[in-house]
Amino acid sequence: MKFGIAFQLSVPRPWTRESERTVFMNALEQVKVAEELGFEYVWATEHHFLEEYSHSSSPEIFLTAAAMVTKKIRIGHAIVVCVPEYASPIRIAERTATMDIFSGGRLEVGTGRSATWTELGGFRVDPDLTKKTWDEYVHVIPRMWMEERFSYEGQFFSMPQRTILPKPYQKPHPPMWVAVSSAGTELDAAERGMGSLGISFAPMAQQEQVLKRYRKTIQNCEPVGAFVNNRVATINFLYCHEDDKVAQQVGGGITSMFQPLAVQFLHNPEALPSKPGAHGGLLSALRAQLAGGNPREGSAIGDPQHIVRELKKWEGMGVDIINFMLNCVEVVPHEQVVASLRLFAKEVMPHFQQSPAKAAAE
Amino acid sequence: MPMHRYGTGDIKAWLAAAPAIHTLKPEPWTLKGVRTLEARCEIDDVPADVLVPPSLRPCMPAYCSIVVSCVPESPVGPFGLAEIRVAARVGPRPTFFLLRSFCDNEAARKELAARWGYRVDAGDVSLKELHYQAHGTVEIGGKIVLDVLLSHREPLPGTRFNQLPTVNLAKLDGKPILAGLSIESNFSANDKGRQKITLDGEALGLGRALRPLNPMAATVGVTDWVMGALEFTVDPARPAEESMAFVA
Repeated sequence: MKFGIAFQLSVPRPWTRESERTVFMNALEQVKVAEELGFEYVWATEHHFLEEYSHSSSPEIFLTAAAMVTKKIRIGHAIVVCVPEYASPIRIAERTATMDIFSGGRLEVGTGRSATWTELGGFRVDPDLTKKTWDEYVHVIPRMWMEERFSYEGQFFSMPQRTILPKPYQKPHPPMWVAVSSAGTELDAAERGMGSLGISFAPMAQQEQVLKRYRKTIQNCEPVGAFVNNRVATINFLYCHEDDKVAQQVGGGITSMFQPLAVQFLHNPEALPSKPGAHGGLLSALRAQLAGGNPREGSAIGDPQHIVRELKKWEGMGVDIINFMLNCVEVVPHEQVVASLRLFAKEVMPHFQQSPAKAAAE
Repeated sequence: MPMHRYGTGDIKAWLAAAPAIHTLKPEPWTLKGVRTLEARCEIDDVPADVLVPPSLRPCMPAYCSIVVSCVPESPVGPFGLAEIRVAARVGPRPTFFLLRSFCDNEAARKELAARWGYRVDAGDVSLKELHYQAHGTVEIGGKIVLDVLLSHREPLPGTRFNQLPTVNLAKLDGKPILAGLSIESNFSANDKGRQKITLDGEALGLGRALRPLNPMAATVGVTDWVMGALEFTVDPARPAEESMAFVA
């Protein structure tokens, strides 16, 4: 199992001239440290209008900055929102190819459609159409990357023949992922041969079912791109400290800020007369989690022993990558975040190092 | 440590109009064939904080829910009910805080207040449906104070709209409480459409705080309601995260 870090660039009020910059620069510094320590992925989300919770509205720029200060860590768009009101698929193909060039072929492209009316409503997007637009986008973007000349007549997007440039550095193209939070999206990912980028904090048992369905379905996939990305990633919070109580106290601050902020936004099902079950998603999972359950199950907030024990469960389940969120509204000072990363690398990572035989087999 | 955002509503001022309830488990009402028009609409964000009690957190963006219902049959006869609610969060749960409601049946007003803590005033409630639109109004003293129009009516896939509990400010044994009521709703028909809301904020006692801005959704349908025990209570003076209690 591999490890990554994930950012949503969360900025506490009151906002001062320097506060956003501090959050962004701290995050960049944490990327550098993470690479040096052996973390293999850095991801940044795309959110709009989610005050305090996420100021990461231009992740492609943050990630390009991250690429320029690193050499090995893979650069993950998690995710780019695939609806016309946000961006044409042409622009997504162009800018991701550019990111792939600047990163020297380290880009991973996560795709998705946004889960809140707060965001979609701000762009005047009809949330009932986003699944369709996402589907059309993920089918055309790999073709834009690979075909020298491209033209298309579709339902949500059309264009005459043009040469879409630049082309990605990775050949045939960067790996593609789908953000999986709503039930059933894992099947969408699997059927299209795309990686399952878990962004849900749902209980482990529930995520295990999602993973099983994904693994089964992807065996008969029709990939949207030139190859199948069959990796499964999940998201977690990380705060590692020698003293488990201190870890819970400090790390607990991250979740105690994150969850109430997240649920304050307007989730699609609350806003729309949609079919029941058409949306689920991150906020539903957070609400369910806040209502009960064992908050320490599967959690990476604790001392190294606790974290190793819990992460082994994810590994046993067949998760390929765990991406960690390190902070929320800077509730943990930057220096402590870095110390947590260092302790994790020293005490936890060695328990997950690949055996030489397994590495060779891969 | 960063602080969460809570409502800034004046509970003391509201308490003067809050009804008294005597139990959290009133005798249930089953109401069949209720016709309901609901419009959800974003409102001006920052002024809306004064509409939300300090124990609840505002939704971002702020929005209101206007519901006009016609109950054809009840233990106290037919009645029309119009509700003006603002979205809020009880801990992690989305909910609506009832700002004002109006009802055209005096016996129903008494029961709604005494059983479930509705702040309900007299008003002529009307819901007129055509195949292409639905139109709800509240008239007080010959003046229309609330007007909701659903136009471009079309069938809604599925048979359920996303219902949320309503939180009512009431007095239980003299003590102020926020009482959460989840009405069990079974839709037998449901349409959606575009909306237009016109309201007289001054006449409704809401001033300029409730200003409809960006339409979200409008639905009209036929529903069976079960109004049973109150689901939870919250101390209006303390954050819901600390004081929410489910009714056993």
